[in-house]
This record gives sequence, C-alpha cells and structure tokens, in this order.
Amino acid sequence: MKRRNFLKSTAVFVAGASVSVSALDFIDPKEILAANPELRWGFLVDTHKCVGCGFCVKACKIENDIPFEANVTRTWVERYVIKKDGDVVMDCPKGARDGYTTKLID
Amino acid sequence: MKSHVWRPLYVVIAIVIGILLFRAFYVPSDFGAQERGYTFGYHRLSNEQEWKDYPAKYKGNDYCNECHDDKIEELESAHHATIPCENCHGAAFDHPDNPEKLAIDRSRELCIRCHSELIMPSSDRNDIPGIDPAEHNKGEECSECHNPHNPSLEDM
Ligand code: SF4
Repeated sequence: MKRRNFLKSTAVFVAGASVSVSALDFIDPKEILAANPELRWGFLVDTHKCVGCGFCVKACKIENDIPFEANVTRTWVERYVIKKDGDVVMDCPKGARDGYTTKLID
Repeated sequence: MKSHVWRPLYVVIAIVIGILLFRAFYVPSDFGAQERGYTFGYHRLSNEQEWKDYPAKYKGNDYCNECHDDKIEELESAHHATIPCENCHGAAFDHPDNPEKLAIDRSRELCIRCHSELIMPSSDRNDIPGIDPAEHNKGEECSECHNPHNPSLEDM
C-alpha cells in the first residue's frame, strides 16, 4: 500500500469512526455499499461501552448451536483486575456466558 | 549420495505430491477464490447464498416490532431502550409459529448481569444503577417491584 493511499484510507476510517452513534442510525449499510462497491468495512469496538453482561456470549452460543452447559465458547469476554500489589489477573468465568455478577475472581 | 539418504527424500517428495494431488481434487475450485484469497474468504464463493438463506435464530427488534409495536414503544421511552427484546424474551426462532410462546427469563441472574454493582474503572458499567445481590431483597424476583420495560420506580 502506498503511503498516500494509506494516509487517505486512514483519514476516511478515522472520519467514519468519529461519527457519533446517533448519526449512524441514519446510515443504511446496504445503500452505502451499493453506491460504493469498493468500500471495505472496519469493525470497531468501544470497550468502555461493554458492561460485561455476557449476552453476546449467550447469544453466540445459541445462534451457533454450541452446547450451552459445556464450558466451550466461540465468543467470550474477559476482564482484567489489577490487584493492590500490582498483580494483574484475567477473569473469564465460563467465557462470561452468565456475565460478571460478583467481585469474586473465578 | 548413498541410497539411504535418497530413500527418505523420495518418501517426502511422494508425500508432498500426494498432498498436492489430494488438494487439487478435494478443494473446490471456487474455495477462497475471492479478491484477497483465503484471508477474508475462507469459504466457497458458490456457497454464499446458502449462508445468506440460513435462518438466524435471533431476529432482532424490528421483527418483534411487526406485532408488538406497543411494547417496543413503551421500552424505547425508558431506561432499558438499548436492550434487545430477545435478551430477556429469548431468541425468536420462528415465533409465533414455532415456538408459539417464548419463555421469558425473569430470573434475578438475568438482571444482575448488568445490575450487580461492580467497580470496572474502564467501563460504562459504573453508570448503571447497581445493587449488591447478596443484600438487596434477597431471594425475590426483581420484576416483582421493577417493570422490566420501564424499570425506574419513580415512573411507576
Ligand atoms: S458483554 Fe457482550 S453484550 Fe454485554 S456489553 Fe459487553 S460486548 Fe455487549
């Protein structure tokens, strides 16, 4: 990729990413794609928005016929807890299938 | 070179040729044939329509809105507006044909997915009203006091 193209697409991407969520409601992806077939989509996740409810994990399992009780997931949500002594622990009970409901670390 | 060197080499060459032959016969010609190869096209081109036609179990709020517009309107004017119907009512599948009735999840466990008070410094979780499930009206269902479609007690 040429430097110019890179800067251009970055600018487009950043511009797209900074559109506020409420403005996005008016955009129909199908229409945009029809008008600009060369368009490539990016996928942005605002991790501040994630509240750790785990509904995405549950829905993913149901949608894709993954055994619900078995401790296997295709989608999962992690949280990181920084302890007072500076240790960082990763917590992901059952892939967060039932969300994060206690302070306890699995 | 001695034959004991050549022999394993022949075996390896035979295996490689075998794999290539197998691949040539076994992998369909339109597999990963997209512009950018396998990277974003790890599937058969001719298979795309098949997947588009594959029925999704979660149908989304617009589907619910076709009949339950009154409920959606109620929900959208309250705090729970961003929560999809199917989070609590379950995936629609082919409702109302099959299943005729959806099993609503009214459990405490469902509510505390978001409303158990946790300190998450880098998450908007802190902005959600939170309780300690071990203290707050233990053993009772949240929906006995809070209307899930409009959960603020002041509005009731
Ligand atoms: S856990 Fe999943 S569904 Fe819940 S807020 Fe985070 S990303 Fe969204």
